[in-house]
Amino acid sequence: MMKEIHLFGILKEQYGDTVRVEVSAFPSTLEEVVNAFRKNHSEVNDIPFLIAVNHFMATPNDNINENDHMALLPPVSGG
Amino acid sequence: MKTDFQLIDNAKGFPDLEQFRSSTSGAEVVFNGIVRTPNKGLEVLYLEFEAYEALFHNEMKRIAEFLESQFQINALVLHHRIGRVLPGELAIVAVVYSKHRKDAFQACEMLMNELKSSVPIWKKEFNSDGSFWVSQTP
Repeated sequence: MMKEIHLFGILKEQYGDTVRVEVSAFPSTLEEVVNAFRKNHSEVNDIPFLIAVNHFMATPNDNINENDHMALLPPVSGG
Repeated sequence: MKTDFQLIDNAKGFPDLEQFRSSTSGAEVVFNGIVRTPNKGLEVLYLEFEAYEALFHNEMKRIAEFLESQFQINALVLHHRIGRVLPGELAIVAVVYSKHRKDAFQACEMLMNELKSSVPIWKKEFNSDGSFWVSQTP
């Protein structure tokens, strides 16, 4: 099963607007999705990021379903 | 509390503050963030700002609720540029209206601190030596 992830900032520059990663089942945990992303994009290990689901901040233990909007947020720098 | 949070893509889009003023607000504190050059000894050519708009609005709502719990605030305004911004141009306007100046000053500073730590806006600096993503948090 594939999960789409939206990217921003340096992650978007490196990998594009979105990537798709394979997960075992839905619901999945964000941790599983992130691990799958890291496995396929090993260069990302140097970039810290937070996670948002359905336009709110989330934590790795949160669950996610196929149709949820998921985004990875590298370090912010507004202002 | 009246709020107005916007991402704007041109320098003419900043707000006319007259609409937020009222006789109940004795203080209006404005922070104008301007693109600066040089930075770290290099000439800044421009900054490129990118935002995650839906999360921007949700985070700003969360910050506004927090600030309202800490200070007496009548209105809160935050407009941030996205896209290319040149040195000398405004990148951000943050404004707090309050009954008294102390709350307005403190709330405006906290608003900027919160913005820099959690609001999903990203900045890439293009300078005379190349470019880099500016990192503040996490």
